[in-house]
Amino acid sequence: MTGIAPMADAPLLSVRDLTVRFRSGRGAVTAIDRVSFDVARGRVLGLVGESGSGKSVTALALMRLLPPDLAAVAGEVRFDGRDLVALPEREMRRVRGRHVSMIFQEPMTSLNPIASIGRQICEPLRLHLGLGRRAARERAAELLAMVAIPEPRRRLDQYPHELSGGMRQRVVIAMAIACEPRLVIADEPTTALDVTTQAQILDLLRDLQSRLGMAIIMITHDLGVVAEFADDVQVMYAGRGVERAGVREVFGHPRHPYTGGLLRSIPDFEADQDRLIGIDGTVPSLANLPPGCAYAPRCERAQEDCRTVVPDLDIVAPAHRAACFHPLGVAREASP
Amino acid sequence: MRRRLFGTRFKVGLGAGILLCICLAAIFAPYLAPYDPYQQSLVRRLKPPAFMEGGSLRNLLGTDNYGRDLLSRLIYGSRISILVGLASMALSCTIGTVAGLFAGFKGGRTEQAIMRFADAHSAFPDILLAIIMTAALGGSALNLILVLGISGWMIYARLVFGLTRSLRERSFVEAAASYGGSDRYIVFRHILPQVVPVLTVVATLQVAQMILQEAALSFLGLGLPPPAATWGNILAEGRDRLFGAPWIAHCSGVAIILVVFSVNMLGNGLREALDPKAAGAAR
Amino acid sequence: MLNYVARRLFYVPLSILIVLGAAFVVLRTTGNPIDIFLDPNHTPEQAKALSARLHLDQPIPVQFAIYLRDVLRGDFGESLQFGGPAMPAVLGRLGATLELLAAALAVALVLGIAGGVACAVWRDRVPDFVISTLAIAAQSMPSFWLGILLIQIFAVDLRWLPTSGRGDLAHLILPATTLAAFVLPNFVLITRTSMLEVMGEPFVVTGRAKGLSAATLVFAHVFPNALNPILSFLGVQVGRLVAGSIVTETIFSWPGIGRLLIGSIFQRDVPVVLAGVVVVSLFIVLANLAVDLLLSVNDPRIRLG
Repeated sequence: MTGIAPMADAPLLSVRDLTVRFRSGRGAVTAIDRVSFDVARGRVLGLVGESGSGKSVTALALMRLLPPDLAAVAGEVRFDGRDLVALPEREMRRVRGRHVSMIFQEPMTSLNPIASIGRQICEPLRLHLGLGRRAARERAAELLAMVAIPEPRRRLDQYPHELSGGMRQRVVIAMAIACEPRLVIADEPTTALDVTTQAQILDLLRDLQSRLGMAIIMITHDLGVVAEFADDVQVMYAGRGVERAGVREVFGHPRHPYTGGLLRSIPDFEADQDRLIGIDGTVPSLANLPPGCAYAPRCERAQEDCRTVVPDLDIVAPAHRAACFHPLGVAREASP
Repeated sequence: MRRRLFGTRFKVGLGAGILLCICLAAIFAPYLAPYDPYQQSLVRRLKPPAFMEGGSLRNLLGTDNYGRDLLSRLIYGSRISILVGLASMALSCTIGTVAGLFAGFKGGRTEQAIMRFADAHSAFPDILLAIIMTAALGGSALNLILVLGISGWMIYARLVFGLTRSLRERSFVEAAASYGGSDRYIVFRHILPQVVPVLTVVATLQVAQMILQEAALSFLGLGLPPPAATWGNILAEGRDRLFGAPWIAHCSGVAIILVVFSVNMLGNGLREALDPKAAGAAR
Repeated sequence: MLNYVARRLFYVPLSILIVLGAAFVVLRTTGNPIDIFLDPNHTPEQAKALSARLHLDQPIPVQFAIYLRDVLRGDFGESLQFGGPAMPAVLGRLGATLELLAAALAVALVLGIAGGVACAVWRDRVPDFVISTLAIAAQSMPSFWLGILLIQIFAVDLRWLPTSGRGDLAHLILPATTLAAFVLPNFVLITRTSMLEVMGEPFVVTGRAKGLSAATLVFAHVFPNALNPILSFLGVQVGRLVAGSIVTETIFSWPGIGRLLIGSIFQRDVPVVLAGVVVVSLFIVLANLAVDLLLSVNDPRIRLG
């Protein structure tokens, strides 16, 4: 069983009670509510949820990329012993792209359209590693080769619009791994790509992960991607973590009814899924959450306590946490 | 969201308020003006305004080189500015809208001819054309309106053309056509109502431009000939008296900026009110 | 690229032809040079000779055709007021106008872009409020009044700068400032809008995720992307700038093409007016062409062809 990393080894990233509140015209909205999780060195955490569940906000909060005048971030993000939430901006800049980097969803728009590929890959190399112009270019060509882009040297002088979507995403990945970071946050890296390209990009990420030994937070709504890729899973719902365990444990013995619903709704893991289907009702608006468990209105097991008290993410089985007063006890078989 | 310095309502209210006052002053000039704007007085030449040293309440804004009361001249001058500004805008708007509708509706060669002509026309500075025309035709209110009106149609043509072309492809226009709706029916029932909000904004802002251009022409000596009380004329006369009687130039300058500013205020406010999305970007 | 330039230049004569035609017809139909340039006691023979020399005895379309034929041979006619060929008289003033335009454009671009960038960077904070409110207010400022105000303050009251004429740098300051102020507010506002738009693009977040500083992002990534709308706008503004230069030259007695044109229009010196029209149109068209080339240099996605 692939459980959670041994406790003796301090995790690479340890998130505790991360809370993000957005100020808006009328009061504040809590987008992320006391989310906690760990990422062990060299392992992959799958962060799963529907759109609006707070996955992407979590990623941006970890990188401290939310606009400070709009978003208030509280809690602790301990990376390699340092609390990123409290780090001065100058120090934080030395973490971004150097130790923690990010891959975005839209390869079409996440590259500067009027800067050459080479310039964009060289930027972190020169900034963080202090490489000279020529050395950076050399390294950039190597990186393009690593992400399996043919004719890397020629590509350096090309511009994003001259590349296909898959190729652009490879460039974004090359940029993210340029300084060999210890953690890569991949926010829906394959969603915008067609199915064949999706598989190639996932293969590439897995290959790079094993070669470079970096940890990855894979943010996705696609349980298929998680099943293939992740070691551990954190399921999010309406800005809260609802279930956390090793990947086999979650898929084999889901405890939270929401996770159970998600799994039931997938007819076939191998098939590509554009979105999650099959749970009645809709995700509640963050501005208007029910007082108790956010999933209670859609939950067939919900009882009185679920509607009044928010359940904590508690241990329900060895190395398995779920935020539910009435967790699923029986193992549910994932459909064949 | 973030607060704006001036709210939309404030802009529209302030702009429209000042404009209303000026329009009323223009309409009721004979009742409001304390003196005949053309009455000269040799003994009361170059009197400073009441708030300056040596000024008196008899001439609130002082007098010019011929002893004419500047306040009265300004009030009468507003007539020309407002008249030329509004009428030339109306002319531009009409020409441009018709041309744009034709180009957008007919397509093909008509479109090419009209739009290329608009391109060619806008490649040339409008004021130079206006200068040549007014110099040749002579500066009367009618000529000014014609010249300025003809020089500003291109922006309407482009706007209406663009909207017409994109609307034409939408289903409701096709549907109307398939019901046998005539071109005229489609234009008046479907296309014009969609175009009007944008045109209102552009037209409002253009009035400011037209007033400025009229004043510029008049300043260059190409507007109504000198004894006429226009703001540009007052400014041109004041220019030669900067040393000794600076109030002549500046009272007219202030009048122009006040009108133009309030028209711009109104136009920007309307833009925000009619298109909230553009407001954030354009403010 | 060359192909594109060629095709653009192909349309130039068309633009100029339309303007020339309009100016020619209006000027010929509304004033008679004979009354202006011959002294009142001229003999009928003198009038006839001048009339024949200017082809005034022909119908206007024929006159225009003759004029165009001469223009194609490089002959723009004789200036009636100066007595020499018209084109050199205009070109002789080109230097002064270009000097004024260049100085004003440099001031407007530098200050306009700096102001717009400052607004975008400090969006909705004090610098933004101050600069963009000033810009909106300045849009309502008639440039001829501004020129007069500047003369009043710096030349009449303070006596720091000359009131008019062309000469050393001190002579250039007031006219260039007046003309720059004519287009400056628009540059501030368009730069602000354009910068804010680009700042919302996802690649800016990518840049921050790479660890770039705010300054690097703004100057190395956001600004180059925001530059194209500013440049396109510059193309539109060239025409306005030329128009403004006519007024500015008049206020400051700046011996450029604008003032020459105004004078020649009053004098009914048709050849000079028409030669001026050609020069001004050509200048505007070439400036727009230059802007298009700059656009494609800045943005590799723009293919001219």
